[in-house]
Amino acid sequence: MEKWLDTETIATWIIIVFLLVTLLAVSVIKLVFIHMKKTMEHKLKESWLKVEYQNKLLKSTIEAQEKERNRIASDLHDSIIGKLTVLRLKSQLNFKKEEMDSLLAESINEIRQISHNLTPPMLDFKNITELIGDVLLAWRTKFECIYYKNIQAELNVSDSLKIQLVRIAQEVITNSHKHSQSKSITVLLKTTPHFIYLVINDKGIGFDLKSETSSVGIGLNNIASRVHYLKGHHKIKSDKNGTRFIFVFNILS
Amino acid sequence: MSFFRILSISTAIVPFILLFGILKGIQYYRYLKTDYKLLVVYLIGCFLADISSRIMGEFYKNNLICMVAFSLFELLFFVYYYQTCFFKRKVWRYLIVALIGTIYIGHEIYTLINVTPEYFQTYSKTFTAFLIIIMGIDFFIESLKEERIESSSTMRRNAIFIFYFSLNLILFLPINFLINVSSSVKFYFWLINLIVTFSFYIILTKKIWKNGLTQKQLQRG
Repeated sequence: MEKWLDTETIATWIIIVFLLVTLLAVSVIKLVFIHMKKTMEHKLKESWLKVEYQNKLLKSTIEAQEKERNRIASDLHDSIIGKLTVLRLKSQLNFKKEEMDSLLAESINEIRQISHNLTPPMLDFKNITELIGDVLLAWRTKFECIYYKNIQAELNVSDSLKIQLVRIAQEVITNSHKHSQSKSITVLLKTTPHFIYLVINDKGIGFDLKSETSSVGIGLNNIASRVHYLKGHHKIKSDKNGTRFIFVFNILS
Repeated sequence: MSFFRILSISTAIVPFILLFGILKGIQYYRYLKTDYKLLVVYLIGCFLADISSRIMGEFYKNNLICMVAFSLFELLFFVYYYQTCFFKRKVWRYLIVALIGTIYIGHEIYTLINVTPEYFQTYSKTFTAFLIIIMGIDFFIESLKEERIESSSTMRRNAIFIFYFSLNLILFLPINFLINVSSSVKFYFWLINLIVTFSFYIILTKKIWKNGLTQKQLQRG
């Protein structure tokens, strides 16, 4: 009798095929399982990194708040309180009315400036183009400000977005003035029916984007935190020829 | 010309494909990476096995023992190949299994050498294919577990080996049936085997050729 007609041989073949199929099936299941496990681990790692990043932003926000409080306190202490103290002394010494009036006017102007720094005036009635223009106006005495506007759509944006955009522009320009040694700054504002693009460019010495310990790091984190809050996107390019900040906000989101 | 005659003639193409692959391998041998140099050695082994089985068939009218001997060559070759080119460290369990396999195949050669085709049933090919499949799957699992970044060509080569030897195992397991059954249905099995073998050797040849060309360009700049 030929071997293949032998029941024992057939049984052996069946067992081997069964083993092969089992091996392949188990291997596929094991591979899928390992793959899923690895995917889960990666996702977990990713979410940890996200939480870590948000904590970092939160820390920067708190630090920026403290810094801002200190600035307001020193503004009030150094200029307003000083001027009011002088005014009080002069009133006790019966100084001229014109001189006292002038000191009062100066104090009012100082307070107005502090108030404007805290919240841009006429926020409700001004559009984003005008508000950015106002920010630049304050800096024109310090360095050359070039402002390009490309308004393809008149946007009705929320006050929250307006104020954050103003803060971002202020932060970038302040940083640029403090650190870049640039003599000019160029701002481009473009609005489309769905997006706002803000590009701020200087021709300074640039900075190290990875720097985390310096005040530049806090400023950058503060900007990132605001962009994150607005669900926008931003990109910073910096080299020895200057720095460019690019911001994109989808107003529908 | 009948279908069976065409099938019989088609098998004559195999040594030519192998020869072409070997010549390409020799042409670029000094430029090839170790993985591909070893594949050239494998093609040479396949070619010699093919030619010797044809000669044996011509003289003794039974060349089935060549298949067992060839499976011993495949076993030793692939264990060495996986240890050298795929696994990052020596895997002793496969070396031990290979040793057991060698003894088993040696025993089969000894017992089957004078057996007539009616009683010829070998499990050497099955054993070799099984071990190669396990090593291939193990390599995939190891790479995934350790999150190793293997080149896509290594992964593809491993997948090709698993695929080819899975089919090989299925096709060579009922060897006694495929030799002795009087029904013409067995020729369809041989046709599948022929296509699979053709494809495997062509892919290996293409890979050797491609690697040779690339490495030549890289080394010559």
